[in-house]
Amino acid sequence: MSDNKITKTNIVGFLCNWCSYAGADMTGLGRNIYPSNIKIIRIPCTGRMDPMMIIEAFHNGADGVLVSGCHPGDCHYSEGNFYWRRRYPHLKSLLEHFGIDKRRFHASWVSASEGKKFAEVVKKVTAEVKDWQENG
Amino acid sequence: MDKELQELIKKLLTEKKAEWAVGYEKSYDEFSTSPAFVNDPAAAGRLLFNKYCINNLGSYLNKLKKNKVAVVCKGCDIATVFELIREKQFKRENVTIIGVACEGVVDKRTGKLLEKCENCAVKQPVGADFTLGTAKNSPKPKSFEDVALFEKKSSKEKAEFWERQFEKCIRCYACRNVCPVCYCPDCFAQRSMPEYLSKHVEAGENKLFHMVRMQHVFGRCTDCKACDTACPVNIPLSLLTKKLAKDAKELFNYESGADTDARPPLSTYDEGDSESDIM
Repeated sequence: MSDNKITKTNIVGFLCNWCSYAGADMTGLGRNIYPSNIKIIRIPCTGRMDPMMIIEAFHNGADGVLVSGCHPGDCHYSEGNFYWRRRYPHLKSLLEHFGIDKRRFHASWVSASEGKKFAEVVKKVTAEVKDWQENG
Repeated sequence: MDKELQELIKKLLTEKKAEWAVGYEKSYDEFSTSPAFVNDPAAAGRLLFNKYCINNLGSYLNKLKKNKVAVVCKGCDIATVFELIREKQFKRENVTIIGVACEGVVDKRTGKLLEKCENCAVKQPVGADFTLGTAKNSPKPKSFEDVALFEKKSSKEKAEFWERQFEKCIRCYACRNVCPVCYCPDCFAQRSMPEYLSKHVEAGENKLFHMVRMQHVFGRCTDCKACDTACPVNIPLSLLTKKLAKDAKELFNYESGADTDARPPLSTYDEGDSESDIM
């Protein structure tokens, strides 16, 4: 643990029910190890991600937020993640304008079979958030 | 121009081309004007236009959507009317837009020309049904220099800046109430199930309110600065609305209020959208 007494890193993960949530399950089945800082919330689809929920998460003290869904073209509802793909850059840019560092907010595509990738993504997100906590 | 304006509105009301006319009238002192609603041709003489006509009258069209309305618009306000038509709040044929040439409006609190008026490209209104007067447009295009400058700050500095600003906020909701595109009858800020926003006024909650409001008007905000001029504690809301305009332009090449048939950026998608940042 670093010197400046950051003991907790809380990351909220919004995972889509059809791909990423199953992908996270696969991570466990495959015995892949990833940081336990992420708290997972299951959502029906990334297209359901109301930006308000993300703003709310940061407001209530989340250090980082990860939103993960199906790869473009693989959406269970055909086009939900396409809408999310547009909302994400706009929201990230707006949050940055309000002073929420870009290292705190991430998005990824993880399919149901990509257990290994999910572990990698969580590792990367945790590292970025910790970097923000420690180096400002 | 006042005479011309009064004659025109009188004519529209007598010929029943409009049931109501929305314009400006003299208020309590010579530096103030207030919105005026006229439905009697004889009362059209009240109306005027001068450099203190700061309000965006497009805001009132939502309240008169069942009527045929004639509305006095500065060049910049026309974008608002078009945006509301795009959002199908009322029909184009029910609105008569009276564009007035404008040399910029003055904030009576400071006595200075508004910042948005300095590089105005729509002093001469575009797209109005009737145009009164002539004005010379500024040749300089709209610049986002101040936003770009602010973006260069570190996230810590930005957060601190907004913290100071939102400590001032008294959450009077003037910015929302005056906003032409904030017309939800049931605003999230007042909802209690779920209660997104605590009712007590404090910097963090105020920030949440402004963040969500900005998110809700993205791609719809025409950057008319009504919120900025209405704010009683001078929070620089134009720094936020300008950012929205900049993002819409840069990320989605979209300008709200420009086209009444366009789809706003977040309610559509393209299979070729970029995803450089997504893991």
